[in-house]
Amino acid sequence: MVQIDDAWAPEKIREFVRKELHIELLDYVRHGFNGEVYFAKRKKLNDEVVLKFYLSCEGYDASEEAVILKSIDHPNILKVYDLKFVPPEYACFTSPKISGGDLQTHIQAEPFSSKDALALVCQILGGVTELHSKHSLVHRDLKPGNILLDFREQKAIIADLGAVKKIWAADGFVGASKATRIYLPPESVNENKYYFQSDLYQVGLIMFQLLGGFFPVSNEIEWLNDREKKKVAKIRNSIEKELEFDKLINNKICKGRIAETSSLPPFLDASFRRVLNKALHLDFKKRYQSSSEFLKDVHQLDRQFPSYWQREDHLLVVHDSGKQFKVWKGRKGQYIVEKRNGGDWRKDNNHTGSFESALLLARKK
Amino acid sequence: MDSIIAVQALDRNKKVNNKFVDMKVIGIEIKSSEAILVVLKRDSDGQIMQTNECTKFGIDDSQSNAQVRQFFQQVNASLDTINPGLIGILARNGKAKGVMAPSPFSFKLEGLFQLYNKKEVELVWPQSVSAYFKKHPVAVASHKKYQQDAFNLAYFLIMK
Repeated sequence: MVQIDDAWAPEKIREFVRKELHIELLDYVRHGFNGEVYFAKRKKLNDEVVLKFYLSCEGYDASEEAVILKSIDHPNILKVYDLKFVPPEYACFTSPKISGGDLQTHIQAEPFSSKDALALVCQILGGVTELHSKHSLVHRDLKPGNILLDFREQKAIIADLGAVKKIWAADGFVGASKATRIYLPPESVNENKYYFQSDLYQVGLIMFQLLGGFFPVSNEIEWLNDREKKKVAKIRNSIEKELEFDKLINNKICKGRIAETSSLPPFLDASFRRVLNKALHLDFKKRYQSSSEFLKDVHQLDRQFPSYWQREDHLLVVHDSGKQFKVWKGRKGQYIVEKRNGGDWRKDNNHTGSFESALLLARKK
Repeated sequence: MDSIIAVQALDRNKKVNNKFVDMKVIGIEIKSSEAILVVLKRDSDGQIMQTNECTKFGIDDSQSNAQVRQFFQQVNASLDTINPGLIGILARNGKAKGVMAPSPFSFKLEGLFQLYNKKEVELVWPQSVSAYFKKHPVAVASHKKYQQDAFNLAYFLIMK
C-alpha cells in the first residue's frame, strides 16, 4: 500500500477515496483552484485511473465537464468511466490514466519531427470535429497542456473540457473562456466572442508550437522586445505592471504577432507557413471554416513533404521511401549532407555547401 | 457565400413542409484517385443552394496505408462536418471493359465512403440521374465545371 500525502485535500474527499475499496491509491496532486486529483489502480481490472474532484451539486447538470465527456465517444477525447456525487459539495469522475502525460511537457523536452507533429494535429482535429459537428460544442481552452498523449495507442487525447460551451447556430458564438489568455484568439480579446473557428485558431497555435515556432509559454516575458521589457520593468506597482504586461500581450494577439510564422524553423517548406497563416488569420471568417477543411491541408503537408527532425547537432530528413539525409554545419561554416538508403551513412556532395542547396538535396525524393 | 441556384415553383410547393426541408444532400463523384463532393441545401423557403462546404480530396499513392487511412479520416471528418441527410455516390460499372473500365483504385475509395456508418450511403447509377433530367429539364449549373456530375447527383437526390 502506497502512503500518499493528501493533507491539502478536503476531509470529505480524503474519507471518500479511502472508502473506495475497489481501488488502490497511488498518488495525489492538487490541480488548479478547486481540483483535487488522485491517481489510483483498479484492483480487479489491474489498470490505472485518475479520480478528479471538483465542486458540484447532487443533481444532474448537463453543463458539467464529466456529464459532457460521458456523452462523447471518440478515440481522441478523454473517456469517463464513472461520475459520483461526494457529499456535501463535490463530484468525482474516473477516467483512464493516459500514459504519456500532457503535450506541453513533451514540447518543452524535445522537438517533434514534422510528421509526428502533423499526425498529432490530425488527431486533435479529429476530436475537434466530433465536438463541433456532433455536439455543437466549442472547447474554448485548446492548448498543449490540455492534450494528453497515449503512448500505447500512439494518439493524442483532448482533455479538460471544463470550459466547453454549446453554440446553437452554425455561425453563432459564445463568450470567451477566461482559462488561458495567451491562447485566446483576437476576436475574444477584442469583443469577447468565441466561434467554432476560434477553436481552430487554438489548434493552429498547437500546430505552431509542435513545429517549433517561437512560443515561450513558460516564460511569457520573452514575447516582449527590449523596449517593451524596459517599459514594464520601470513600473513599480505590481498590479500596474501586470496590467501593462497584459496590454502588451493583448496587443500582440490582436496584431497577429503572438505566433509569427517567420519564427518557424527555416527548413520547413513555405506551405507549412501558408497553412498556419490561414489557421491563425486575424479575421475568423478568413480562417479554415471547419476542422475537415483544416485536416485536408494538414494531410496535404504530410503527403507532400518528408519528415524534418531537428536533432541536437543535425537536421534529419526522412522520406516515406526510407531514404534519409543528415544535414549539419561543418567547422568552416559550410553545410554537410550525409545520405543513407538502407545501408550506411555516406557523404553526398551534390550541393554547394550553402544551407539552401543542402536542404534542396535532402528534400529530393 | 452560398448562392441560390434554382427554384422551381412546382417542386418548391411539392417539397416545402415535408421532412426533407432544411436538409443537406451530398453528391459524390469518384474520378480516378479523387472524390468530388457537392453539397446542396434546401432551405425552409424551398430554395436550393450549393453550399461552400463542397470539396474534393484524394490519394496520391493507393499502396500507402498511411494515405488510405488519411483518406478515410478525411471522409469521416467531411461527412461529420457537413452532417447531411442523404449521401449519394455515382456508381460505376465494375464489369465494363477496355477504355470504359473504371479504375480499380476508385472502387477502393468508394468502399471507404461506404464504411461511413453514421448515415446510409446510396449508390446511384448515372442513368437514373440522366433519366431524371430528361423528365424534368432544368438548367442548373454547379459553381465549378468539374463539380457538374456530382452536382447533378445531389440535385437528383434532393428532388427525389
